[in-house]
Amino acid sequence: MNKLIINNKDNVLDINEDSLITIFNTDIKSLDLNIFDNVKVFINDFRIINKSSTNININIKDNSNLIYNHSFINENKYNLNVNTNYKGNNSEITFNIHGINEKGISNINFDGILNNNINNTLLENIKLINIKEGTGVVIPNILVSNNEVVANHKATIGFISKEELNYLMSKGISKKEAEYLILTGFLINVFEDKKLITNIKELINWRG
Amino acid sequence: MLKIENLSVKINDNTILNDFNIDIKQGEIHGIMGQNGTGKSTICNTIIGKPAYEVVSGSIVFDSKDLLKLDITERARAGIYLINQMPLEVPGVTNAEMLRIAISERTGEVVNLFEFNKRLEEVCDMLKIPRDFIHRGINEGMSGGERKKNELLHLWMLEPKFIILDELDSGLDLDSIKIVVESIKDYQKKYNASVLVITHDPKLLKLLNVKFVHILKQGKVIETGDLSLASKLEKEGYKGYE
Repeated sequence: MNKLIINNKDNVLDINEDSLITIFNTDIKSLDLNIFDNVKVFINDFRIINKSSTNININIKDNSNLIYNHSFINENKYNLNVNTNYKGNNSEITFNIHGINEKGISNINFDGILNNNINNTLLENIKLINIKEGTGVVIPNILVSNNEVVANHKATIGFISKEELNYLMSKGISKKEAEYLILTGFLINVFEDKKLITNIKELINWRG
Repeated sequence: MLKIENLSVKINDNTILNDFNIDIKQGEIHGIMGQNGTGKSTICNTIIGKPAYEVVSGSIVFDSKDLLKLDITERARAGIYLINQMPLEVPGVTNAEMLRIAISERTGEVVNLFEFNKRLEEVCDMLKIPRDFIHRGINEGMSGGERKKNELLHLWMLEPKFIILDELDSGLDLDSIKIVVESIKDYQKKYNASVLVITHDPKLLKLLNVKFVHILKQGKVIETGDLSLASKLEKEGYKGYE
């Protein structure tokens, strides 16, 4: 599997082999992904965002699979615009997004076009937690023009779960530590890469 | 150890417990039975201090401490521990992380990681659960039975003095009930802990050698006896209390 780390603001990637792409706290303005036939692509994207707009454009051809896992802490303003275009059949795009809005607002705009090609799947699973003065908006636009596709959009925006907080406190953990554990768990829970998880924990440790 | 007197509790303006009394001494095992909606789970949640449960009147004293003045964390650190009927999942937070922080905050000392990990492995082996539970998310993706065993892992690591078991047997198969019950009996014996068992099943009270059985109706204890009371309920149900 091809392993890539993205450090640039503007990126155009032509992907024709199985790839694992990592974005670790890099301010990305644009990411154009051209995914060719028969490839599996995993993207792990974690960022602490102050003021940022990111445009992600995905063109995917036949029999390919993209899993895009993204988590972020928004400290000020974050605009995320995602466009998905299916250029062939039998492909699947999955977006798992976990975001914490600490201050300001995050706007997540999702444009998915499932046109006349068949057996394509678009799955979006977006969860945002608002803390302090943060807020979030999720705008999904999924255009489906045939019956032989699967489109699934799930978005929740809320606060730290009181049930989880009470549960951890009932083990003798202070409220502050319990909140920290829940938020850290929420951010890392979209990833499986142990090294990335360790790096995220180290990066956000100071926030307490 | 735990004395509750004249306790009345509301949730969303509905009175659930009404003049509830119980006195549980150190090392005693008590059981509470009652029909659905009589306030059994409210007792558990009020003792641990969940904020949604509003105490209107009465007192809860634990080890000479006024529990009503303590928050959930302080009550847990005082030695109170609840195993819920469906323990919650906390995604992304591992058992080891949670337990290390709970122990270090309670003792005020940095946990010795070698000793801590060794102890975790010993407890996993004792409970016949895989050692990979240690680094799994709390109850994440676990079956009902696995969750109960995972809560026992927490119990043995946190070493509380007073255990509340809210419908311990729900979600457990026969073999798992045996393992869980034996583990709780071992724990109770080792630490001379007090146990409050909330259940619908008289058999569970017998397995745990409960000494005192209380019947709850409309948020109040209406009869107290020994295990023969549980046997009577097993045969006759709640007809005699209608």
